[in-house]
Amino acid sequence: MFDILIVDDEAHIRTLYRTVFIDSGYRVEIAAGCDEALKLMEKTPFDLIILDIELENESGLDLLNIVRQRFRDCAIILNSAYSTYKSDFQSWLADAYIMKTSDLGPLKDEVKNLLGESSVEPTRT
Amino acid sequence: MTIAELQSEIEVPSKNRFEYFFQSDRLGVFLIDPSGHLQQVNKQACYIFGCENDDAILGRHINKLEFLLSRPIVEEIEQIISGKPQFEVSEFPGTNLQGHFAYHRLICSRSCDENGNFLGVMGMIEKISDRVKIEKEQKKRIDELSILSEISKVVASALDPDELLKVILTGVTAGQGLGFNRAFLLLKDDASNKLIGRLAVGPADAEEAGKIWSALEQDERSLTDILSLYKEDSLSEKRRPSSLIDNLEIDLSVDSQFSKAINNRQALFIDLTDASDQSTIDICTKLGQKQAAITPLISRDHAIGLLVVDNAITGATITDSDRQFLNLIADQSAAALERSYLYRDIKERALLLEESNRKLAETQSQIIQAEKMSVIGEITAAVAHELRNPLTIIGGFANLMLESQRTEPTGSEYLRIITSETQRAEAVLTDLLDFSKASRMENQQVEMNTVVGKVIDMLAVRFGKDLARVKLEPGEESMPVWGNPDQLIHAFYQILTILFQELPDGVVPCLSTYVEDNSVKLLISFPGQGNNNGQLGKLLKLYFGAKDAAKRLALIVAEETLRHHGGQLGLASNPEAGPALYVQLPLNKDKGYV
Repeated sequence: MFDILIVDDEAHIRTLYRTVFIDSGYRVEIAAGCDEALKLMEKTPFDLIILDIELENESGLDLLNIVRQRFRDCAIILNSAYSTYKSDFQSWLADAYIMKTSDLGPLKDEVKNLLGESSVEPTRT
Repeated sequence: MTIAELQSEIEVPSKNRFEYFFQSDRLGVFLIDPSGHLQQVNKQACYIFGCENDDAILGRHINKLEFLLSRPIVEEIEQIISGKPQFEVSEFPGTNLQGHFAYHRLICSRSCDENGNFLGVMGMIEKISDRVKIEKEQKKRIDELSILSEISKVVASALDPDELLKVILTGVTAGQGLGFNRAFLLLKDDASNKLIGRLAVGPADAEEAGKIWSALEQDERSLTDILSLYKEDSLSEKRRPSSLIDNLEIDLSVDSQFSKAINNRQALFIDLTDASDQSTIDICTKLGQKQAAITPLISRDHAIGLLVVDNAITGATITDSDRQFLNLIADQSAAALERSYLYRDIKERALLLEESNRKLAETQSQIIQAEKMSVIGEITAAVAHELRNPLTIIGGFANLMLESQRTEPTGSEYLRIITSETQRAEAVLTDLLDFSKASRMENQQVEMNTVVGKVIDMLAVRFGKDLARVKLEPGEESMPVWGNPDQLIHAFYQILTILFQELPDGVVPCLSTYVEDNSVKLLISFPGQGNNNGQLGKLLKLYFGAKDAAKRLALIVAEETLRHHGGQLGLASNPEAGPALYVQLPLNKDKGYV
């Protein structure tokens, strides 16, 4: 079973994603900010992180940079309401970039891809 | 005593009149008997007729005096003998027996004795050559001054350099003007130190001269008319020997009369028979000149060109007087030419300034447009973000419910979240609509205190009694700003609403307005908070990063509105007064602030 960490400052998003991915058969942890996320990662190794960019008073891109250096085996999906960060070169460190949408299908597919559960190549939608 | 003086004494009895006048040493007096023979002459008359004494002339019949007195005059004398009382010729030329030419004045009258018997014709003749010469000289001067005046008048009104050059050369060559056959204008090019042929006026050859001058002879136009006429290209082209000066360049570093005239600022007369340098000979040969007068055009002690005139067609001699007059015209022309160049420069600069102003206005308009687009872009991005999150949540939970057909109690929790997020999305749309409505008004002068007053009224409706916590300190009466009143009221309302919601109980904000450094400020401070300042500072910092999405969007819209009006929302910190929020807008000085 894969471990997934969801980092988002929106409580309802965290609730939604946790429900959806638990239902999909993953172990899910949630964090509202960067510090909380790092603490969880030091305690438990995660296979994948779904990371929001615009966090309260901080940027998910900073956390992305740290995770890439310290936890090289962890897959990262950037998940944002903004499409503009796609052109920010920092975002290229992530394995995928998925826009937030009510259809959670693309996000779930990407998680499967990155965890090797699907033959479909990772994407940056 | 002149004839005029003698005429005043005409009342002298006729018997003695002849004797009386006969004594004059300035008047020639003579008496012709009734048969037409010269009977008596005085010494001065002998001198005028050109004989040493009266023997050589006495007894001559008037028909034999035609060497001096022309036939019409002799006929007039004959009419007096026949009974006509008198006649006068005020000016007539004549040559005396010694061959001297002179101008004379003559009066003849009948002379009778006391009984009225006809004695003969008494004549008084006066030599007036000196006076005629002076009068002619005066007339010439007056004519010259008149020409100078007419040319100056036209030159002064010409502001275009090309038009001016044509007027100068036409004035120099027109028969009613200086009357030279041809005129050339060479302008100095400082960069190459050369004189460059610029303009020429005059017939190209004798045949063309004949045609043009005979046409002009029948033309009764004044000099002013001709000068005005020759401003037009079509007419001046006909009199332009332009081929002669095409590509004409005179190197001023090479010795020639032309370079001497420019370098020494000296008017010169060139006669090829006396010319010593080859360069002058070459130039004059090219221009077809044997004689020429050259005059430098000097403006502010600087030679700007050369005026060259000749009589190459008629071969008439150029006199000293002609040259002096040419110098006067050249002085006038140089000043006018300099003025016209300045006028052209100013005109060009004015055009450049106009173009710069136009570009500036265009750029300003583009900047304003870009600022508007920037505001719209920021707000659109914020709206998109704030709507995408609730939509993701609503859609996500709805899909979950649909997929799993979940029931109570989990399903009702999802429904609660959906309802909450829908309200959030509605709030975002309400803010957007409020801003859109406010955007429709035109910019105008707005009083800061009026804006704050209206916002306080609106807040009173929303917060009711709680608003008693606010302390108001309005500044001077008139603090105008320039902007959209509805947008500003909307922005202030959002800023103050969010602040009041975040403030802890017991904290009384003070709203004061004032003018500082060309800005109108609304300061929201918290006096008397003492040890609470640290907590308040933290609160105000958090205020700018409000967690609530609707509040965050409202703040973005308010800040963008202020920025669009040239103002800002800021955080102030003073060790004594404590932390404070301020809203700053530019003072609208031009629109009424005293």
